Amino acid sequence: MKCIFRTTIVLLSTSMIMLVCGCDLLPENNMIEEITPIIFWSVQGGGEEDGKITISTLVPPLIKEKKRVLSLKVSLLNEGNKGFNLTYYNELKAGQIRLLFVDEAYAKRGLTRLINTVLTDPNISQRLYLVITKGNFNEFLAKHLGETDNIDYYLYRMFKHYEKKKQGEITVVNLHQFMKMLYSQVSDPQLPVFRAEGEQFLYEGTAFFDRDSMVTEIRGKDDQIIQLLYRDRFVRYLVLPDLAVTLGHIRARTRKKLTPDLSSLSIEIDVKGRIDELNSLARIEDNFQYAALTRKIERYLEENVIRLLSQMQKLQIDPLQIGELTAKPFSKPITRATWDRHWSTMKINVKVRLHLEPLTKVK
Amino acid sequence: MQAISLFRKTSHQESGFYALFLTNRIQMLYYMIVMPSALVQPYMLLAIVAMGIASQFCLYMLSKWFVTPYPAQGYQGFERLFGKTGIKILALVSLPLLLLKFSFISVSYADIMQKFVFPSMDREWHIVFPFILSCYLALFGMENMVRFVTVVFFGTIWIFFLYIPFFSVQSNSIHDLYPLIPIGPEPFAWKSLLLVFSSLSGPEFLIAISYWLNPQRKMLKYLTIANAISVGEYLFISIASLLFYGSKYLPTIKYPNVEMGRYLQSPIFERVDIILISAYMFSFLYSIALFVLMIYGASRLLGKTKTSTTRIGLIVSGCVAMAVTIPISKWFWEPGLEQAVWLDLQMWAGSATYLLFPLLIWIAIKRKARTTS
Amino acid sequence: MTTISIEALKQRLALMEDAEVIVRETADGLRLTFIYLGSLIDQERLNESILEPLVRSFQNSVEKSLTTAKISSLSNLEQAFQYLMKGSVLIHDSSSGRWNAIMLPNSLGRSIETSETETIMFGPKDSFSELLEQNILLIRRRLPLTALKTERFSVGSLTQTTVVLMYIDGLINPEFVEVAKSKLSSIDFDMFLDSSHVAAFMEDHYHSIFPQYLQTDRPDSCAYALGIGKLVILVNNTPFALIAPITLFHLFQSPEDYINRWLVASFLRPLRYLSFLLSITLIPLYVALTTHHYQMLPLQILYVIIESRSKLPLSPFWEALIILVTLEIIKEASLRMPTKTSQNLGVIGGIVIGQAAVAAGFASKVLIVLAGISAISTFLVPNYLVTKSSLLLQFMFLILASYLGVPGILLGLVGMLAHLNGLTSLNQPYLAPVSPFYWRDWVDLFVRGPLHAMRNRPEALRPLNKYRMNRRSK
Repeated sequence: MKCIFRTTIVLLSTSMIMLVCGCDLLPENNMIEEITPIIFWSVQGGGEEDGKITISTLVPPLIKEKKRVLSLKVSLLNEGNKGFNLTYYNELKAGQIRLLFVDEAYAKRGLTRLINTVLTDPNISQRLYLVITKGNFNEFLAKHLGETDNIDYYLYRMFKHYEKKKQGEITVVNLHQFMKMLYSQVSDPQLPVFRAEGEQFLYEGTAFFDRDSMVTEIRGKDDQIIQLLYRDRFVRYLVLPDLAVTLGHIRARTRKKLTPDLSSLSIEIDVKGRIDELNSLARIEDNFQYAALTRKIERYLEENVIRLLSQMQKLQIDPLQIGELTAKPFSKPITRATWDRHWSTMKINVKVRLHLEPLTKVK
Repeated sequence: MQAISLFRKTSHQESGFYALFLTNRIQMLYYMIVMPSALVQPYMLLAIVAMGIASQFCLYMLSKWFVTPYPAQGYQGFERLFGKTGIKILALVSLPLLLLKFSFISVSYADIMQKFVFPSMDREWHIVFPFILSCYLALFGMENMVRFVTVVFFGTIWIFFLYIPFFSVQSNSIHDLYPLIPIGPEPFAWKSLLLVFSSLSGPEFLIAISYWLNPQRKMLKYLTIANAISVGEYLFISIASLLFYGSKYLPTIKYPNVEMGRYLQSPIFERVDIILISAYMFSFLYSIALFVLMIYGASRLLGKTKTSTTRIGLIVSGCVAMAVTIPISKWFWEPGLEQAVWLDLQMWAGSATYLLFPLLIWIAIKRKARTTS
Repeated sequence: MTTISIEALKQRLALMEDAEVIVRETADGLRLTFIYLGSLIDQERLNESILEPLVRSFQNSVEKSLTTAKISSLSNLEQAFQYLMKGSVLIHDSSSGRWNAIMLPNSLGRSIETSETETIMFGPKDSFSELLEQNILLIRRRLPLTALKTERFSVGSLTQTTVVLMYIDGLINPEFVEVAKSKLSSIDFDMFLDSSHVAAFMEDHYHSIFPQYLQTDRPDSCAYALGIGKLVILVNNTPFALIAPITLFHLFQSPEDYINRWLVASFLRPLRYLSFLLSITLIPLYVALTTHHYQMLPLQILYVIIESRSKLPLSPFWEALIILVTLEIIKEASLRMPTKTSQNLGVIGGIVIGQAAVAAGFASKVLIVLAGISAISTFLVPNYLVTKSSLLLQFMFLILASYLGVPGILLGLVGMLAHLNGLTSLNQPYLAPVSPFYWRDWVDLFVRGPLHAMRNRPEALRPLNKYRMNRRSK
C-alpha cells in the first residue's frame, strides 16, 4: 500500500515537471547519418551596393560521393546557412566548421561582422582557421568534385599540420588568436593569404590588418623573413634568391627591446641553421669566404627586416605584437593613440647573428 | 526494510579531511566559472590573495566553533548555545538564504549547460535532471553524503589539471600579466573584491553539518589547507585565462573557463568543454543534494523536531526548492538586467553569511563561556 | 521428546532402500542393533573399525569396546535422525537399552584441483572442493594458529547445510563477527546449495547488482583475507567461500597482484578499473557522440565514422542495442555449451558478427570494433559477478546516452557512485578507503604498493592488531 502511494507521488511529480518544462526534451536532431557537418565556409563579395555577400561550401563532406558546391547570395551569413538547408537534402551543421575562407575584397572592408556571427554560434570551435583568398575560390572548388577528392578535408589537414609544431612554413591563425590580436591594446592581427588559380590553391603570404580590415600583404621571401621575427619559430627553408643561397632547418630566437621612452626598438635575432643550397661552392672554399658569406646574409636580413618594419610603421600597424612590450609590471599601460604616435617614428636597430653549421661532405 | 533516518550518525571516524574536501568543493562551486571575466585586470590577482586571507579569518572563527564540545552534541549543542527560540530564528533566517543559494547555483549551472552543451534544450530540463539525481543522492542521508565528498573531490579535481596546457599556448606572453599594481586608467573595481569573497563563501554551512564531521582539535589546519587550495586554484585559473585571452579580450567573455575548455583538443575528443561541464556536474550535484538536506533540516527545526525523518519529507522540501527555482529560471532570468540582479544578490548574501555566521557563533561561544564560568 | 525405539526408526526408514538394519551378537553375549544408511557411510570403515572390534570384544558396553571412535549417546528420536542423515551409524545396546551414534561419513569427493574460475599463472594452484573439512584443512595449513576460530552454523530447513565462520580472534574487529553471527543465525530458508545463496540472505542490499560478499575458491585468497582482518564463511558442498566485509575495490584485485612485481601490478590494477569503465561506457559514448555530439569528434575520426555509418538502416542506439544483445546471446550460449561445441560457436559468432553484419549493412565497422573492445575489457575484471553486472550497467548507460548524450553518461556515473557509496557489506561502507577516507590504505588500492610499504593492516577494517610488521625490528 505504502509502495503504491510512493509510486503515485513519484509519477505525479514527474508528470508535473514534464508539464512545466514542456514535453520535447531535445528538439535538435544531431544524428550523424542525417546531417552534413560541413568543414568550411567561403565568403566573397560585399562590394555591391546592396551589401550582399556570396557564401559557399562543399557538400557532402567526408563521404566518397560526388561533391557539389553550394553557393548563395545573401546579406547575412546565417541566411546562407539556412538557404543551404533548403537546397540540400541533408541538414547542414556548423559544429565541425574548421576553415573560414574570406575573399580579399571582403577582408579589406573589415571582418568584425563576420567574425561576430561565427563567435556567437556556440557550436563553432575557436580553433577555426581564418584564411584570406584571392582569385575565384568557387572555381577552384568546382575542379575538385570527384568522389575521392576531399579537398576540404585535406586543406584542413594542411593547416593542422603546420600549426602543430609552430612551423613557419606558412602563417596559420585561428579564430582565437585573431581575436586576441584584435582585442589587444596596441597590436594588430594577421592572416594567411592564398590564391585560388584553376586547380591550384597557392600560398601567397601573410596579410596584415589594421584593426579588423586588411591593409597590406607580404609575399614570398618577405613572408619568410617575417616568420623569423616571431618568438621561437622553426623555418624549414629560407630562400634568398638575391644572394643565390638557401638556408635550411632554421631555428630563430628573437629578442625585442624597447627603450623606456619608446624612441627606439632594437631587435636581436639569433638564427641557427645551415646552408642547404648554394649556386657555387667556390664561394666558400675557405673560412674567410664562409665568414664573408655569413656576414653578407646577416646584413641582407637586417636590411630586409628594417624595410619590412618601416613598411609597418608607415601603415601604423603592429602585427608582430611589439606594442605589448610596453606593458611593464609597475607602470601604466599606454593607449593605442600613444603607441601609434611613437611607433610611426620609432628608430629601429636590427642585429642578426647567423650561426651556420659548417659545410661538410661537399666538393 | 530498515527505518529511514536521514540524519543519523553511526561512524565516529575522526578525520578533518571531510571538512577539507567540503570546504574546497563548496568554494569552487560557481563563481570560479565567471570570476576570471570579472577580474580582468592582472593586478586583480592580488585581490584573490587578499580575499583568501580574509576568508582565512572567517575560517579561523569557524575553527573556534569546532573545538568546543557543542558540535559533537548535534541539536542539543545548538540548543544549549542559542536556546529553542534562537534556533528557530536561525533556521528562519538561513532558510531563504539556502533557497537563494540553491536556486542561484541551479539556474546558473543550467545556463552554462544550455549555452554550451544542448543549446536547443529548455533550461528547465537542465535544472530538473540534476535535481532528480541530487534528490537520489540526498536520500542516502547526511552521513553518507558527508563521506561521499571524497569521491566528489577526486572525481572533479582532475579538471584543474586540464588547464595546465594553457600556460604553453603559442600566443601567450608574460606581458599579458602586466601591470601587477592598480595604476591603470580604470577605477579599482571594488565589487570584484566582493565577488571573490563571495565565491570563497560556503564553508559557513559546515556549521550546520558539524555534527557529522566529528570535529577535532586540528580543524583549523584542514580548513586552512582547503582555503589555500581554493585560492591556488583561483589564481591558477585566473592567470591561465589572462594569459590566454589578455586583459582586453577577457571581459567580453562570459564563461572564460568553459570557453578555454572548448579550445582544448585531445586526439579522441574535441570540444572538451562538454565533458568538463558534465564532469563538473558532479560537484554541483553534490552541493545541491547537500543543500536539499539542509533545507529539509532547517524546515524541521521550524516545525516539529521530534518526529522521525521521512523520504517524502525530504522530497517535498526538495520540491519546494524546485518550486522556487523553476519560476526564477522561467520568468526572472532575463539576460542582462535580471541576471545581474541575481548575481549581485547572491554576492551580497554569500559574503554576508560567510562573515556573519562564523562571527555570530563565535560571539555566542564567548558569551556562553562568560556566563558559565 | 520421543524415546528411541527400533520400531519407530524402522517406520521412518520405510521405503528407503539404502537404509540397513543389522543385528550382531558379541562374544560377550551383548545383542547390538546397527542402523545406518548404506550410501552415506563408509562401509569399509564400519566393518573394520566398528563391527569387528565390537563382535570380538569382551566388554559389556559399546563405549568400552570402541576406544578409538567418537561416540555420542542419543536421547531422542529427532536427534537420532539428525545423526543418521549426516552419516552416522546408530548402535543400540539391548542390555542397557542405550542408543549411541558413531560418525562414519563417506568422504567421497573430488580431489584438490586447480581453480578454474580464478586462474593465475604463478602462485599456489590448489583450490577448494565440495568437502568442508578439506577446505578448512587447506586454510588451517596456511594459518597454523590457535587464534583461527571456526564456528559452525546450520542453515536451511531442507538442506541442513553446515556453514563455518572463520576468523582470527584478537585480530579481527569483533563487530564483524557479531554482525555475521547474528545474520547467520537469523537465516530462514529451505535450501542452500551454494554459498551465493547464503550470501543472498546475508547481504544488506539484496536489490543491488554489486556483490557484497566476495566468492572465491582459492585458499590463499581466504588466508590473506583472514590475515588482514576479514572473516571467511565456508559452506558445505560448495567450493566457493565467502569473504566479508569487502569493498568495490576488492572486486578488482587478483591474487596475482601480490605475485607480480609491484610496479607491474600497479600498472595492471588501474588497467582493470579503466577496462571496467570502458566496458560500461564505451558503446554508450559511441551512441552519445553519434546521436548528439557530432562536434566532439575530431575531423579525422568523424571521417571514419561518417563513412561507415552513412548507409546504415538503424539509428546508433538500435544498432548498438542489437549488436550488444547478439553478443550477449553468443557469450551466454558459449557458456552453456560443452567445451568442444563452444569453439565452433566462437567461430560462427565471430563470422556472423564481424563479417556478415557489416557486409549486410546492419552495423558499422566502428561499432563492431568498439563492441569487441568493450567485450574483451569486461574479462579483465577478476570477479565474474561484476563482469555479468557490467552488462546491465552498460544498457542503463546506453539509454541515458541516447537521451542525454555525454551529460547523461556522467549523470549515470554519479548515480552509480552514489549507489555504491550507499552500499554496505557486513554493515561496512562499500567504497571504504575512499569514502570514508583512510589515506593510509591507498597504498593498496588503485596501485599495489610494495609489500614493504604495507606496514599496517587496512585501517578501514579497524583490526584489533594494526601492525603487519614487528614494530621493534623497524
